[in-house]
Amino acid sequence: MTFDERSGRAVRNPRLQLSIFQATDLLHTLRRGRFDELAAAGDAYRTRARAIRERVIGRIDHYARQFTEAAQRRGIEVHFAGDAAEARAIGLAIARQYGSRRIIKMKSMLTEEIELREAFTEAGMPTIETDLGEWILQLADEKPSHLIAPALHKSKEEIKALFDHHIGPHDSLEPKALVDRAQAALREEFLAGDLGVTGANFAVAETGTLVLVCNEGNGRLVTSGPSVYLAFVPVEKLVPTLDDTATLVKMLVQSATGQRLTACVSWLTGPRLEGELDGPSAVHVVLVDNGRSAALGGPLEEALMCIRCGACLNACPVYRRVGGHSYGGVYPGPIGIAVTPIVEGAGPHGDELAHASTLCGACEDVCPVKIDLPRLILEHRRTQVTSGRAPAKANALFALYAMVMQRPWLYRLALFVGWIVTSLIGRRGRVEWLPGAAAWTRSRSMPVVARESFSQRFSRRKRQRGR
Amino acid sequence: MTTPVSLFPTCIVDSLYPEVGEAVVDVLERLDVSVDLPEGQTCCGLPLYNNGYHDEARAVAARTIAAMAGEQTIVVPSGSCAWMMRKIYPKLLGEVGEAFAARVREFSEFVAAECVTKDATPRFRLPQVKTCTYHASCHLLRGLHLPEPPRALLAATEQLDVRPLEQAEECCGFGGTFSVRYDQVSTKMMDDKLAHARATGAETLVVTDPGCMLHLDGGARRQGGIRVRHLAEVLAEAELVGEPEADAGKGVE
Repeated sequence: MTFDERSGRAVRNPRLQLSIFQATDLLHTLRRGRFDELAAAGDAYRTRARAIRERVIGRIDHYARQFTEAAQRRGIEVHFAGDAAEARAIGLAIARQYGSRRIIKMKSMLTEEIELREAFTEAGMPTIETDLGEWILQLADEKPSHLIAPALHKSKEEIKALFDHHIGPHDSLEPKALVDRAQAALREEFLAGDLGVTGANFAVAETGTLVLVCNEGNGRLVTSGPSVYLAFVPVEKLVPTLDDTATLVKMLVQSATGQRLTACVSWLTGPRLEGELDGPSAVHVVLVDNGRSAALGGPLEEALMCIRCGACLNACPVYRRVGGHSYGGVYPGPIGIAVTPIVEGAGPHGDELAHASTLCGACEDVCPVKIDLPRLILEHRRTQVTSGRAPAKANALFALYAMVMQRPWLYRLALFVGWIVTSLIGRRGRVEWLPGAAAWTRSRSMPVVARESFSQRFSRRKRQRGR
Repeated sequence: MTTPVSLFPTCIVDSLYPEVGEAVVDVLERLDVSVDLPEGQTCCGLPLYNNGYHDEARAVAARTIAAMAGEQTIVVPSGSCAWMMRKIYPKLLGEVGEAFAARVREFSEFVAAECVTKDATPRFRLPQVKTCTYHASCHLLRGLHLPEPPRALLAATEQLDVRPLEQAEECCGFGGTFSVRYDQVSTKMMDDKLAHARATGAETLVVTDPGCMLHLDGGARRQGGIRVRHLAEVLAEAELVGEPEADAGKGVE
């Protein structure tokens, strides 16, 4: 299916419309409230966060080395995966090395990107998502539709039906009751898991620390319960220092949910040391590239600065109507448009997404690291044209457009032809159906091209006055 | 007449909404600004640029700059085209583009600087009471960071009841080729915008961008219940109250 087909279904689904609107509008309003409170400091924070991200993207290899050395000093085994297949293979090898039988997982977009859960499950290691939203989606066999609220497209009625089917019937539709049921079911999973898997919101280069934010506490359980802890970190999530990380954590959380801080922020630096009472006995970190270093210095490089807060999704008028699944990949919304060609490579899917934006600029206004998303979307479109991937029909159409617009006589001729055509088809000054532009006239009429253009009227007026 | 300006009416106004162009001229002349229309204008090149055809956009931009040669301020009744000229021409054409960009003023920006006095004394008066609501077009609001001028002008118009619009700053769904490429989503956005506008009970939905206008007007005429008009058309119906500033036109940088 194409974006057009998927999004067309979404806009015709009133229940989905309501779910997406309520959730995105809530997150958007909470964020706005927090930034209104911050006033001028909010922008100062964004500028600082941006500077940190620029520093990282400028020297990603340096920080990767620094992180690796610091992590190794703390007893962490660091691996490097060039692409998704390699990342999965490393994950599987580690799981087998420790004889893992049941894996518990925290929500992570990177693991969605590399399809890790599927790989573990196929290899005979059942893998359970422990984030409430992700768990709901695992039960429903669906993909996340949002970066931070993966199941926001689901209504509580749907969630209740899922729970009734998978964990036994119950009569309450109250969110509290639903959460309690999920918690009871997940508690068993936490106790059974022998390998904990997470992504990372940030990885601190100077200390080898992994930083995880979460509101449900499942991150704590996943990283401290099982004897082995395995984290997958996309290389762009490196941060130079702990101080820098503090700024970024604040910006991430405030932009994502409007909270000052999430309920839990975990700072994890290596396995249990001698004399310590808890924590995993082995920690592995897989740094994953998967297209990122190839994007450095390229037209979409700025997208690597993203800290995955999801604010641009909540602000995007297109996302707010079509939802995450319409984008057909792992990363939806404005940032998804810019990230998809990086992680998937250039191709028809990324190309169709480049046009799934009105370039309204709402995303740029809310980005905590000031990514110029409209510029990236335009760059993405330009790359299609310059690399010869734009459809021949579009090339021909725009070549004709450019030819006409560079020749005023041709422009006037085009207006004249336009007048003849539209006045033949039009009724009472309006065109209700236009061959070749049915997509326009399905929902909108347009004026008949003016018999006397504004320029002609203006000249006539001037001549009349001159007389 | 003092302070001559050059008008760039935009291709949509020139071909589809000539009455908007005439309203722009009426308003400007009433403010004692003489308007000239340099020959050889076509399109600013935005559709080419926004679809990735930057070389073609550069050629069209160079043509536009040549057609609009001189020192005069250029008034554009479109946030999108003004954004293209101010923000993108410099990227495409360097210093030449920058020099040109510095002359460009969006219509409401120019008029507000001309006639809204600091104490916000109304400067326009409609012959009878009318109701309207205002949709903030994206390129003027976020592209050029000019949220105030259209609102200030509407607020400075006596006998005009301006009603607050829900989600006023959300995109109307036009987006150029987006409107036909993904017309189902575009239409949904338009339907929402028009529903919010009708919910205000106002007679008119005021816009400042011919792109939004083509889209919203096209939908509103199908659906009924509200009329979509350019800000210039609303102001052209009003009479000017009080004299323009003596140094009108020199106040804009």
